[in-house]
Amino acid sequence: MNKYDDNAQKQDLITEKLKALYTSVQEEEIPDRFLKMLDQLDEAEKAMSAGNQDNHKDG
Amino acid sequence: MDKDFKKELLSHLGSLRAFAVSLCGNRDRADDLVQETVVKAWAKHDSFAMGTNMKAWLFTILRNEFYGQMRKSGREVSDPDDYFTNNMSQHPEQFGKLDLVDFKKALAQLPDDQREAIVLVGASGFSYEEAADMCDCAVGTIKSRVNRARNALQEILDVSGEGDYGPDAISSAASLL
Repeated sequence: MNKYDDNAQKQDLITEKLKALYTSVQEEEIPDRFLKMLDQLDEAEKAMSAGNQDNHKDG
Repeated sequence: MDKDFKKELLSHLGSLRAFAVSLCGNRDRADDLVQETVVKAWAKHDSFAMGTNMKAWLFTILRNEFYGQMRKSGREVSDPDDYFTNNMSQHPEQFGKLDLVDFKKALAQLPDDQREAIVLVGASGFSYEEAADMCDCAVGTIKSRVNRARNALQEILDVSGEGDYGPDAISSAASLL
């Protein structure tokens, strides 16, 4: 194997490992705290826009 | 809230977490960063045009938040002791995972700008141009950071042992799966 092939193979392996690490986190189940937080933000916004509509009917 | 915005935001949470962990190297801090990012994204969602690249937009908010916190606290950027997950090192009998433990240690040794560049381009799937936009630098700068990161990783892994790095190791790892 020449030096170029050797290096290319090592670089492929590095990319492969980087992706494996990254994917291991990416594919974890999303913790509940984030889902709850999004729901809370959603509700807070709905409450706020309901209030705004009362005050500024022309939006 | 626009339902589509929320739905798309949710779909990017996994990669946001992976990016946060690779930036700060600490799982708890990474999730705090993601939380801050979601709150900020929500607050300024009016400035986001649906149909444009939400993933890049979110990643940019996260990295700005991260470097902002760094500047404020003066803390070291990464905490390699907790890089990705400590659980990995608790199963040394699993060759594949042991192999990744060495790799994550090597990754943690990189300068922050190089680690960020190789993660964005090599793992998150952004183009050099997108990464340059997000990091607010020239495309050539990103390319050079990625190259330096690759060379540094190769060097660190070469020194740490040819045996668990070469093609023989791959075939023996494969036979264990």
